[in-house]
Amino acid sequence: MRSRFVRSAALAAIAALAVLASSCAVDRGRGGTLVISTAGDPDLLFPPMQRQQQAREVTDLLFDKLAEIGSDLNTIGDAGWTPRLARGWEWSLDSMEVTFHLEPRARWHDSVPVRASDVLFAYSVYTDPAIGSSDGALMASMIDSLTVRDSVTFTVWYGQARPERFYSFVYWLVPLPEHLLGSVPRDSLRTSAFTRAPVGNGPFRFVRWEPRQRVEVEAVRDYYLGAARLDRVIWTIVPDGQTAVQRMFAGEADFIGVPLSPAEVAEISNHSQIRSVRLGSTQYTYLQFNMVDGPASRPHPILSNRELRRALTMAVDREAVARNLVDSLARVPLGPLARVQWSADSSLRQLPFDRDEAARILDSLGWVAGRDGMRSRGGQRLRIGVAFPASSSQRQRLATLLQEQWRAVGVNAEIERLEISAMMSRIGTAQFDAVLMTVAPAPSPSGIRQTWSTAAHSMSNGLNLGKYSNPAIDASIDSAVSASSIDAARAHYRAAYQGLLDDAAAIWLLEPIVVGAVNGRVTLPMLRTDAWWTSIPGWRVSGEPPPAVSDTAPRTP
Amino acid sequence: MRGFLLARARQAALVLVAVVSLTFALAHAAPGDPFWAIEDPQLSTAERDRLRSEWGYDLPVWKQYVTWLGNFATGDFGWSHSRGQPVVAVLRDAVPNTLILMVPAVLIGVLFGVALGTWQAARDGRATARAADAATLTFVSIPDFVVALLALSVFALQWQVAPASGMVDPVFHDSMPALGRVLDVASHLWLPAGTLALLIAAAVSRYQRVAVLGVLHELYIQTARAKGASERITILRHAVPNALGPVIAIGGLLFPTMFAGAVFVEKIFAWPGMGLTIVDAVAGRDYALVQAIVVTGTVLVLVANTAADVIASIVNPRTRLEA
Repeated sequence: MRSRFVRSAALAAIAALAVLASSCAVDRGRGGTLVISTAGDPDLLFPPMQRQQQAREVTDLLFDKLAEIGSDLNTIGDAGWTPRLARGWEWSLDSMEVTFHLEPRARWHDSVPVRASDVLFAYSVYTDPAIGSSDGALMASMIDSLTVRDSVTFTVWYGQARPERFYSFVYWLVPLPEHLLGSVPRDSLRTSAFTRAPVGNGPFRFVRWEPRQRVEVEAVRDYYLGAARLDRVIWTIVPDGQTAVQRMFAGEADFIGVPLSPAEVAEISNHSQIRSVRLGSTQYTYLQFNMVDGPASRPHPILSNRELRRALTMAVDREAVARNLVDSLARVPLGPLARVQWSADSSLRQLPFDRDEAARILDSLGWVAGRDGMRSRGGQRLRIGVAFPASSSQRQRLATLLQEQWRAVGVNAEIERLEISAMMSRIGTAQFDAVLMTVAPAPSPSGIRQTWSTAAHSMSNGLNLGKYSNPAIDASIDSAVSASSIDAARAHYRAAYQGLLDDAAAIWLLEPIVVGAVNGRVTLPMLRTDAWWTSIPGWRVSGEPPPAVSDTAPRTP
Repeated sequence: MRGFLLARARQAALVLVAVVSLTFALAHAAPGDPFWAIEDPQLSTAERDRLRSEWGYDLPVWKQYVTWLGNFATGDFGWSHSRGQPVVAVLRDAVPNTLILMVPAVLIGVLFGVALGTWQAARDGRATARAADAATLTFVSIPDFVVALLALSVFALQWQVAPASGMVDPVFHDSMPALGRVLDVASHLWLPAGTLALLIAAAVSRYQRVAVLGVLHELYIQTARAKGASERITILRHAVPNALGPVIAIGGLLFPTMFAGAVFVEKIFAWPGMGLTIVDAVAGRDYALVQAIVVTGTVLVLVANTAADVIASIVNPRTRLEA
């Protein structure tokens, strides 16, 4: 009798749980809530210090900049820029100062008005060495000073007439609330509560951040540029890519903004309610050669030779490598640039894939193939270490493919799968042969100065990890960065890119075509090619409530 | 018994000091620090050095150890660089979530494993027992994450009887009444906990089956049968208590996992627990978080093993005498 009762109770419990589970699994209609699957937590929600895209996705909705870059990603002058927090600006006759007029209706989310002093305060934070912001360093290199004219007007005084002076200030600076942060010591900002629960001035306000679970923001109904079409945006943290896709199929997420694999894209085509969406990206991957040997900066015994680097480049079938790795979801980069940058030039001359020529060059340099087919010279094997972070499975596969390609011409690539800490330490002390780097540069092509110029050797935020140096290319880069017209700048950038390609300073291997997924209930406007999330205020979901009264206001001034 | 416990406590204190010191030394001996572990080439060496100095990572290791020990003694566990939070806040977030997942999974897994192993032993040689044996062997052999992905695909996607991932419904959870929130967590819990319980049960059942088979030929079992005890009474009252030794030992080892979590389940089902926190802390050279986790984990292991020894000594007094 008792066992029958226990059995019945157990069955009833299982049935109840199943009903409960299934009721939770069906889509009950989320109204105006957009759920985005993302791979990890943001590092901080504080623009001057954050480093990760996940953080930018959130803070770009919480904080408005003075103006937003146009869809053509123009960085010279102010053409194409859309007013946001600044409703307008005017230049002085000599173009060495620009006066901004803030939107007087703009409010912080605690209802305090946004004032010019907040912009000055933000500038002082960005440029404070205690904050260590590389964006701040860029601003400080161009700007002489800022002065407040009245509560909603301020002037930026430039020290140099650089064509990107508007971009270098407006693209990077995010105004911060002085009334909340002014009393916080700068060296305590990183650990302050604000960095995890910020008060912004943008179309969405912060609601919650539950580590490893979700970040939530909600629309500001009385936003000065008109309320967003969504009620809420929730980023759910899903560390496993496959699970993120399953969540989409199960109707638990509306959008995946991280790159999908070819198999996942193919799987999406089997689900009518999901569609793939192409997201812009400035990302590319390259193999950077080290020109020096250790911290003493002696020339690298192998890789400082230009002809040898050219041979190594010509030995790699980059088209095949890209296809092998991600099928059609990547292209071979044009050079040290992304195709979405305005300086992109498809007519750049590439070193051809030519194994015979590569072998001939190596022979002429005295690297002779032995019985095993591997080359050596004077008893020294032609061995090149290819370092990459252990956390990147894609770069591991890339290194393996490179190893295979080089083996065909007798070059021994030694795969060095390093833990991040060890890899960064070796890069910092120039103790590597070649390293697989993935970068996602900002829209400005002037970043090439940080990456490939001789001046970058001594820059605090320099990325010239291999200490590459070529005076002719330095001159082209300097001319490009200081050119006043876009056509002149384009010509100089072309010369610099061509020089780097001819010099084989690196092998540019992979420029991904980033494809995400979106639920059919979401209507997307045009996405910005460098940051898809900036258009979220204009996204629509079916089942959303009727537009608020303020929604009839123009979305941009 | 008091002497036995005192001896165990002395041993535990020594082990704790040794483990904590060794962990500190090993963590600092590995190359890098929290600021070298940031994969951002734009973070210059000078800036990394400045941050290192600001946080005291440029001091000699022994000084860092003494400082850490002093802070730890006053309840200051330090700052987690990988999570951008005080270590206490990280543990406060992650530990309860881990316990919610692991306690039912381990308890159900062990209990079901014991029951299944005993049932298999009682039916040794029959087709059903052989089938169960093959099934448990399969689950033990398949990598954990494959089982988890399979469970996710079948239950969440094909049959849609479980949410795909997460701990709560991100959209509706906060608008639910208290009971609704509990049920929401339960509906998200059953699939990851069930998957974990299944894997634990498969492993435990194999130990339990062998242990029960080992005692079924003992004289006291034959005596019980000779005295007319039914097969059920013989197994449940005489065989099982004497075959629990290995399972108790496994239980002692499994207990700390209730705190440490299960990385594969947390990753596949996006459960916000300790498993991935530990992995990230180690990879990010997050010394303060690693130390706090190690100390807490070590204390739990010591408590659990002492408890397992005590239970074993009660079940089988000979072990106490041997100890």
